[in-house]
Amino acid sequence: MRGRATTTVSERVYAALMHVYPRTFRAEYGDEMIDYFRDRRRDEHARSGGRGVARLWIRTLIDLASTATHEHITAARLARRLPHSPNGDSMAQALMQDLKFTVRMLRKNLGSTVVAVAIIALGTGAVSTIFSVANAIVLRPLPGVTTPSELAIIERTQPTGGSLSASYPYYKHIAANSRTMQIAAWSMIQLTMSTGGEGVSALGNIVSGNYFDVLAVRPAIGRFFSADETSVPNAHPVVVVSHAFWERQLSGDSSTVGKTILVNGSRYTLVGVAPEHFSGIYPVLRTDVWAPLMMQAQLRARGSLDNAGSAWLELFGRIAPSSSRSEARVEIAALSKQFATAPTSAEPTALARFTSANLYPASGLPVDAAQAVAGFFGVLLALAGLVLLIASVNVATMLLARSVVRRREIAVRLALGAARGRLVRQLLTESVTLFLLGGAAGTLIAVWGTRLLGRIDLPVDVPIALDLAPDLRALTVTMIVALLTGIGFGLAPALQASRLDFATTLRGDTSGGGRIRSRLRSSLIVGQVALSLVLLSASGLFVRALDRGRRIDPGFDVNNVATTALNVGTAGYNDARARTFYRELAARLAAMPGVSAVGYARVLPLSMNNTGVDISIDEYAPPGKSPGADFSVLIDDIDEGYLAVTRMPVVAGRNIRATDDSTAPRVAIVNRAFADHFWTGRDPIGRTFHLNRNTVTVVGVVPDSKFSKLNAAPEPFMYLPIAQHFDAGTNLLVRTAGDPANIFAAIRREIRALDPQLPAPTLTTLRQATSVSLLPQRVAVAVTGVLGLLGLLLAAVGLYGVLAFSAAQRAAEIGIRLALGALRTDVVCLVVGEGMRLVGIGMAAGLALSLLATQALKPFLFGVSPLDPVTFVVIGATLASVALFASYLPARRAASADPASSLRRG
Amino acid sequence: MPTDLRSLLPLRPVDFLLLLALVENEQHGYGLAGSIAEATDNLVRLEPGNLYRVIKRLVDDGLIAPSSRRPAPDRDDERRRYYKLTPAGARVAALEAQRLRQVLASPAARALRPLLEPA
Repeated sequence: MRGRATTTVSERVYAALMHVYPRTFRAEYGDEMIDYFRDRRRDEHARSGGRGVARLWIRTLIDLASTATHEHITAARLARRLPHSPNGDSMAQALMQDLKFTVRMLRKNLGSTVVAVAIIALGTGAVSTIFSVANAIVLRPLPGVTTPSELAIIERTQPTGGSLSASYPYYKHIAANSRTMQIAAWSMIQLTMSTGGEGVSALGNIVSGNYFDVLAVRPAIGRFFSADETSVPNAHPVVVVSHAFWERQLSGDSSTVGKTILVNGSRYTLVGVAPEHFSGIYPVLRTDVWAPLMMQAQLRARGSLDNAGSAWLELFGRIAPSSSRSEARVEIAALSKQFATAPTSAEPTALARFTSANLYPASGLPVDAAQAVAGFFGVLLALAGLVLLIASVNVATMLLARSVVRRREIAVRLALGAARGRLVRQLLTESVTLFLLGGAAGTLIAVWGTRLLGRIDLPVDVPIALDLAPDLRALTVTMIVALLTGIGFGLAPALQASRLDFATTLRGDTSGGGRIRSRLRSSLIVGQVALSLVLLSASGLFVRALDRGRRIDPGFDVNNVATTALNVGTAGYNDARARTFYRELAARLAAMPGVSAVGYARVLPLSMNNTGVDISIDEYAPPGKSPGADFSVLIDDIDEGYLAVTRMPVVAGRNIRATDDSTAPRVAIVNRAFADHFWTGRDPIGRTFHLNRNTVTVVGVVPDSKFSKLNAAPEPFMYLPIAQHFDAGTNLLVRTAGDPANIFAAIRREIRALDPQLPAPTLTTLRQATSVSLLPQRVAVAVTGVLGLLGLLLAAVGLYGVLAFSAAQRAAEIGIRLALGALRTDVVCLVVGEGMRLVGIGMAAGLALSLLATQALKPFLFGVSPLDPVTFVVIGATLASVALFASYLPARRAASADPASSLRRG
Repeated sequence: MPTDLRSLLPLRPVDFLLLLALVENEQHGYGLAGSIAEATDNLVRLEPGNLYRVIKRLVDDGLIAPSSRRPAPDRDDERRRYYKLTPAGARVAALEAQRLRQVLASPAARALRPLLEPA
């Protein structure tokens, strides 16, 4: 494929907007118009930078609106749907007239137009951003995959609930015997890829031979796996890489296809590159490599494929067009039962209990996450919709205020015989145009917003790849929302404005009408203020919670420790080699100046990564079970240096020793809560429990600390010696005298000195790594803070609009007051007082709402009271000052009016 | 295909400008817009929607047609379509030019000349 010029976001947006034109016009000239726009944009950008491009966009949008309308009318006329008219259709003419008039009016009041468009842009931008993100995660079909609606995820289930991954024999049975589905299997695997130098960590999928066929994906370069490569174990080391990986790590060089690439240190052949954007069945996770199942022995080092007791595969399939989803489900469930209950089955009883199966749509998200994620986005979208609602109300208020000022003009037009309907249509065109412009600007905000969101680094282990940019669907939704809102919120002011009794207005008698309507507007302001208070209070509370959370003592010392995750297993080390490596590394690092302790741990505390195991204690009966029954406890595997690094003291017994290895008796260290819970009042040292058919002796006790969550009550926890539960993946911890960042380079150097092929480790501090436990609070602060500030901004503008409207209506009254000797400050106080009265009611309502709503936040606040007075006072003061400022502006204008002219104007 | 070219007169100004731009050589969309802007001293700047409406109209009337010419190899996109004047289009442009000449030759038009500032 020859190189193509890279498309900018502007071009993509324009290309999407092209859909406004009739299909035949677009098919014929669409590409050319996009090219034209591309050239124009380039020239404008070169000539006058961003400003020129902005001006170009305005002209383009207007051009788009008018010419698309014309083309649709022409097309409709050709299809004989509209009457032919020699001098242009009267309807089209009227529409063009309205548009021209609208543009003129909007240009005349440029100030308020810009403010209105900006406000609508904020509202539609919020909706558009969240919708785009939801679109990327939940709604967009799997990229690169054909007809994803025919796909289904298969989960093996137990009739009483619970699901299980598949073993290879199970997969073979189901796949071979299913007549309704074509089924593939896969699993995630971490690999180290290299072209000879330093390796790089990559997320891989190990897949069955028909994986790409079932997804109906074609290779971009080269080929996918052949029949041989997917049927003969360990004979054909081949891999396929993703398009992004090929561009990033192999420089997009097509000559690398067909050549050798190192996978976990072994030589493989790169046979193909997957199409652009394809990233497996969970596209949220950026998959870089695909390897055949047949190579699993080498890549996973976990025994034979045919082990029926090893359930490690995920299954999915494509339903044949001749079958329905329910037929397929029934068949797969039956096949599962057949497999589980077969007399020759080699399955352990624990697995044979899973005699059924369920089908789920391939939504791009793991089954258990899909609903929660969809629900989460539903809530976010509702919140954004609320923001848009507020924005629209504000703009409607502004439009109303403006229509009061234009009373004369409207009255004259009515007197001269303008049809009321025509007038309403023209006013409606104004508001709809405002909203559409706001909608367009909102999509630009969404583009910018999603780009910002995409840059956020999530502290998770797997690489996340999301293309959040708004696509056609998001754009269409935004514009439709803008259109409907424009019509909805423009209609009322338009109707009200046209309902003037023009004779009275012309005569100059202005008894302010619409008292009921002004009450509605006032209550809307009150509502906005109340809502902003609630959101901002929530944000404030989370800020306090975050502050307190940072100061919670976790029970170990997180300062001055450098840490990194290491996994030499993915570089091809076996157990013995791995043990030697880690021992040597620890020795080298301990000898460095400034290092006071070195240790290893399977998982880091407070990293949201805890594991548990099933143990049994002879003299302990878990609730609802008999003594000696299995129950689960949280554990971590550590070496002899870990407790020193984290400065956790041993309060009884001894620490783990280097001699607690695979040849020695099994031992463990437990925490206070463990001892108290299971052996209340008795000395735990020397007691035993059973783990995996071994008897483990407790040799030491440590104090309680926070292992999994910051706000968790102390729970039973135990440490096992890493040498007795060895895994090639671990976390290295190094305690330094000073700033741990100073030692990063040295650690990297030592690792490279031991083996230059290992991928460069990602070093961080323990403080950083454990801060992920505060992530929910951080996210909450950001979300409620942004929404709250937005709400406050909109409420302030709304308040301004309402007061300006009211002052304009009362211009005559104010004029009389001034003429009768009132001071200008009195007038200011009058208007500001009116405003603050509204704000006061709003704040009271908001306070009441907050007191109820914040109770729901209690579990996340780390003990900060939901009624925390400091927060509420600060937020209240902020809100009041903003409202004061928003009221002062129209007050000042009303007070500075010349009484004579305002009386004359009536 | 119009049977009587005269029925198309008078041409809309932008139509005439576009036909004129194609008299000397074939052009693609962006080039046409540029030529027209140059020829009218930037008074007529065509946005894509407008430009292609006019192109479509002229194509439908048979006055211009897509050309088979391909761009020079240094262009970065082969999609560009070039347009050329059809014989009918050339005739109509000539007829319009003649009509305009007659208008400008009238006594009224000549009387306006002194109102122009000295160039």
